[in-house]
Amino acid sequence: MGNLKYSYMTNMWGLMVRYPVANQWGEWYEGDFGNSVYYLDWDKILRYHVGAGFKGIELMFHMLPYVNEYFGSPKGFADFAKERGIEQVTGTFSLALGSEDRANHPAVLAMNQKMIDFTAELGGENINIMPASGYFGHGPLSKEQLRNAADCFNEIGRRALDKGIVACIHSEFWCAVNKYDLERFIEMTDPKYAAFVLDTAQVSIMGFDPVAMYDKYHERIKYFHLKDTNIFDAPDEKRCAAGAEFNDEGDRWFWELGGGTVDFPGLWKLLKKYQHKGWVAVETDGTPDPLATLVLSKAYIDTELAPIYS
Amino acid sequence: MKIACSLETVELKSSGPSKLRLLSKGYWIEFFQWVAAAGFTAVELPYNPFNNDPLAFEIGRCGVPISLAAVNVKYGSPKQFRQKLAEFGIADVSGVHVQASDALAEILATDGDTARYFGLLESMGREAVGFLADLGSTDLVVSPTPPMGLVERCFGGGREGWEAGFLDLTAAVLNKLAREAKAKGVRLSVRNEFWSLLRGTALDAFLAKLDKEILYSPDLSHLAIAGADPVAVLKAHQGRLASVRFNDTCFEDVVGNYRTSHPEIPIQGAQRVFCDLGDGSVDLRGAYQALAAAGFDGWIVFDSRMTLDVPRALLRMRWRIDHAIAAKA
Repeated sequence: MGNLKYSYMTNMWGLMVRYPVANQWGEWYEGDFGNSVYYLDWDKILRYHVGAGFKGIELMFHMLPYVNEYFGSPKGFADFAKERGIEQVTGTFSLALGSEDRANHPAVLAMNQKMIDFTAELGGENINIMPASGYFGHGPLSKEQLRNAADCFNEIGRRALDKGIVACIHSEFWCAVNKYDLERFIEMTDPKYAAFVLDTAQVSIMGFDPVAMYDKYHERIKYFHLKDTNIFDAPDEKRCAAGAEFNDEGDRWFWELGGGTVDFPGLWKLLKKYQHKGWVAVETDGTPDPLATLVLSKAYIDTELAPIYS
Repeated sequence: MKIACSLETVELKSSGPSKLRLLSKGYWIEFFQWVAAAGFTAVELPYNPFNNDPLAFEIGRCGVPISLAAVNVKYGSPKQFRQKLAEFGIADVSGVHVQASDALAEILATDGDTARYFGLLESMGREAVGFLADLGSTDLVVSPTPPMGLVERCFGGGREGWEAGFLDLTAAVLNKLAREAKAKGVRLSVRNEFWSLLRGTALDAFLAKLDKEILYSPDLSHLAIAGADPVAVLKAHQGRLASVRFNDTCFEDVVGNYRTSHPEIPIQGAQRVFCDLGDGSVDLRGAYQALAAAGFDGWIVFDSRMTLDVPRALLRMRWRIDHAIAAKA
């Protein structure tokens, strides 16, 4: 049994996988003769993960109503996934939009309580949370706003811990908690309730070296979103523009592991040094071909990284 | 008759290769070029002003022209958006389509207080009227109820006859909106869905509750799935039509899927509800001829909902319009 187990964030498949099971292959293929049929249902998509060697998955916040509607309950979804070889739905992604304003805290906490309950019922271990509004229209945050967001995160984290779930600050290059105040925000939060998930591409785009960041914050970093990028320290006007996450020209921010410039071997050496154990997740939202990206990422892990630490 | 293409040909919510790119402005810029290349010079826009519903939040923030806020942020203003369309050869916006489902989804995503529903429906409609006026367009098309399975769960509570009260309140909101819209040069019409409380010909009785100035914008596939004859419906309402949605299906709802809260994503049996225009069994040519015979001079809005290949669907639509649906005998 190795030290690392691999999970995959499922947001690259689209906002919502359409069906639990596509009943009739021909219904979608005949007359179209394309490959879309391979992307329409959880049944196949879960099996792709297992086939590539990913035994864990993560779900986005917008999956909550879908899961309840189509699988009856989060446990119903987790059981469906287990039947197809997924060991665990390891966690979820949520948002704390508006947390920089205390007036919004009741709504932010209510939304995240739903996500905490959802994550627990899925059998997840962690919840990764964008800690405030997007930068466009909201940033930069004042010290007081940052304090408000940190207090809100601490409360979310406390509630999560009550259910045995670790709440992790998830940095986004387009979040109001941005390059100039991310570290201050980490320091403002309580280590008991607020861990940090190192998203290797997001921090690179903001101008942080992810390897150095792990070295500095390894005690706070309980989880990883591993993705590659070829953009380091993007200019403010690009990173903080309206809807920056989906580039107006359609260019990619994120690449499969090994497709960009992130020093993953360097990171793996530190994982070994600090003897990190447990689930780590790959996330490659925005890829034009999720299946190709899934397989390429795992091949890179197996051939380039696992020899360093596994 | 005037011809438009619906942006609902692009299915945003479900999975597929390159699906997240559909959320970027870049995709829509290219899409409008495809639309024009396929010979369409007008479009109908979906409209959803909400952002607490998670899917609405994702769709509304990066470039899909789905609301006033989205258009202002990514295209400058409704006027500048029209100018951008015109640059591509799209001269008109035939109308804007709002769905009552989106108001209920917003509530379910937040506090779940369904007492807010009719107020939210009204505010959504009012915002869409303003957007239309800013665009210089005139048709607000409303899908008047969420799926009946969802409405029953949220409003029915097992009570006998609750539907009548729900529809009375819906009618009151629509009548109020129509009067406000008229003052801004916008006219209101209602659209049918096979899953709504007003499925098929049930909409006929509801129309009688509405002010005469509120028109009907039938959707042919939805009529067919609900078991109504689309051509007969067009003939019956020929004096009250605003626009007509031409699309296609061969879906037979043999398991009563219309009663569920997710009717367009069936779990049992056949699952492909809509197909590319011309691939299904709707009598599109008969419908076109019925409208021509009645001297209809409104918009025909074409779509291929849930197509698996948008550019191909656009080209297929153009060929089938020219060579089958509207071809001279």
